[in-house]
Amino acid sequence: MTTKRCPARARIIVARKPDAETESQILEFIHSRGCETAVYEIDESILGGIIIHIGDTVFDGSVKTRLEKIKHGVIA
Amino acid sequence: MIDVKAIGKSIVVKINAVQDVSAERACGTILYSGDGIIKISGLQDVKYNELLEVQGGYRALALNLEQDCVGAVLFSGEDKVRLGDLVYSTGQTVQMPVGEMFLGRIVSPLGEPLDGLAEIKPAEYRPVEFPAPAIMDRGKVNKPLQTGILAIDSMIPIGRGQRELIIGDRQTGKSAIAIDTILNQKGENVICIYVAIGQKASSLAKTINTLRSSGAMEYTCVVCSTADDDAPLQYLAPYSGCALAEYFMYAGKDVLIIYDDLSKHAVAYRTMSLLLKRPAGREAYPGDVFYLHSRLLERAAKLSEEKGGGSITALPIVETLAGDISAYIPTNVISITDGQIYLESELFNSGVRPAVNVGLSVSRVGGSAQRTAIRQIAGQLRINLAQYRELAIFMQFGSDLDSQTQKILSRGAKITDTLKQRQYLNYSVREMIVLLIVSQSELVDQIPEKKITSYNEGLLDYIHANHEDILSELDPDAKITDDIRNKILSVAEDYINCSVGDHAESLNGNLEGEELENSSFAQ
Ligand SMILES: Nc1ncnc2c1ncn2[C@@H]1O[C@H](COP(=O)(O)OP(=O)(O)OP(=O)(O)O)[C@@H](O)[C@H]1O
Ligand SMILES: [Mg+2]
Repeated sequence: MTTKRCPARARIIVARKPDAETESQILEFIHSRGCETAVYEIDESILGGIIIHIGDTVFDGSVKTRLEKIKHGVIA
Repeated sequence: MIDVKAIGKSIVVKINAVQDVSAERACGTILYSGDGIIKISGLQDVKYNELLEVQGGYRALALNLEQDCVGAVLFSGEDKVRLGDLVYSTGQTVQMPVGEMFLGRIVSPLGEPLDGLAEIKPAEYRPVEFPAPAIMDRGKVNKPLQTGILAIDSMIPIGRGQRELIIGDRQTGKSAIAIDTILNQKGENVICIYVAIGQKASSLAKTINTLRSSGAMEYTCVVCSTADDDAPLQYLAPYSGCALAEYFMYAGKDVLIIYDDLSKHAVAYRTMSLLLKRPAGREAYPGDVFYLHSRLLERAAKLSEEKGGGSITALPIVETLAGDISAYIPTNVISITDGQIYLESELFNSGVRPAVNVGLSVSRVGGSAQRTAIRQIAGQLRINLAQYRELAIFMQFGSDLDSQTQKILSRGAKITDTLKQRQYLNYSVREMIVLLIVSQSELVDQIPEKKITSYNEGLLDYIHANHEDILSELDPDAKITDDIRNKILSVAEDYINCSVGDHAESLNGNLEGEELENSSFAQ
């Protein structure tokens, strides 16, 4: 059986490097999810906000995704 | 003038209505991609038939849930996804947007417009896989669905809520029957959905043009997947069409849905299954290919009055190879449906069109829905035709026939000719009654064998021009009285005298001339 692995590292995608305060908030969040360290990736195409990958779960708080949702909501 | 402020306001309202949940979503990565199949690691909580979202905006359908990976088929973007791309679960099965706005439109199996017209605003979304109505929710099939084709409406009647298979070799007029049936629903308050599965784009374009030019698109929606669409889209098409049909059925309307054709659907499913490495069975189809079609066709039903009384009439089409109806898919679908219309290429090539083989065609439930008058006068037709066919085969060896046999043969040939019908020429119920009465009467003995088709067409024109009152007097829902029968026959006789007689040529020209009218009133 596969069990839900909880990897020690969380993958964090941001548009630009976060400041110290945000970083500590991020750490606090991933600790609450059982993660120890974070690796950062810079991806400007997400425009802003943050995407956090912990194992098979993703928390998508990027500006790009939000804009897409708004686009969907306004057109549909 | 455009009210900019109001538009701005409505956009703000819409934006505020968008739920901003940056909630957690399950996500996996692509381990394998090939032939439109992807294998995904992660996504442990995904459900069977769930819609997945692949990075880059492509969609996929989860079909194989295995211990350490999920197998899914891509609807598009087969050549765009890469290893390691992220795949998100959506928590829903595939949904089809539905609504009144779909009438007159041509859409993909995912509900996207393909006709280049305006965006379609759906009334709601319905799951493409939906349980069939329960037994208690079903009503009795009691209303006819008129195809406008004499051979079918007289001998193989179809009722609203029935599933009648159209089966035959390639190029035997299968689609033609389906299209004619759609055309005949004009003004009948029946919504039509034509599902094209893996068809050639050229023949599909022809079909759509026909529907457009005859004004049938008003009440029709075409759900199409062409031969170059990926197998998953072809697989999805009939279910999407059915979801749209269900929207109308549960709103209490009558719907006609055509699946053209299910053989190609089975092939698309076989492709997917083989690529997903599911075990192959007979003819390399996977084991659940029966269920593939049974769950689709079970959704066609007549609802009880308490449930709104709506109905879905399904006309699935299956193509056979060399007339072999005992192949896997044909036998499956024959056993699921409530009857079949069997088309034969031999008949088709010898000019009997529609090429319905009356002996092998049946309708198991439509009889009770047949109009009273038609049932009364067509009751003997099937038996007479069968007798004629038998005799004709037997007699082709003998040379000298007694006059009685000759008469039976010539009458049979004339009935067969009467049942021939050009494409796009639909008969109304009243016209059918006239043709059936005349073709089974003694009168036909006076018409030369070759002339019967033109006689029939001329007779109907003649009656429309001069004796409309007879048609309006006819009540298709009551028994035909001798009085009415005699009236019809006397008009038919008049027309024989002036069209088939010695001076036929001269009279045919001025059919509606005064001389003609006078002569018919003199009788
Ligand atoms: N009643 C008819 N009278 C004259 N021609 C007909 C009739 N019905 C069909 N045809 C012609 O026969 C040809 C084949 O018809 P159709 O495309 O409906 O057959 P099909 O069985 O659906 O073929 P396919 O296997 O390619 O799907 C068409 O050119 C059509 O116009
Ligand atoms: Mg066809």
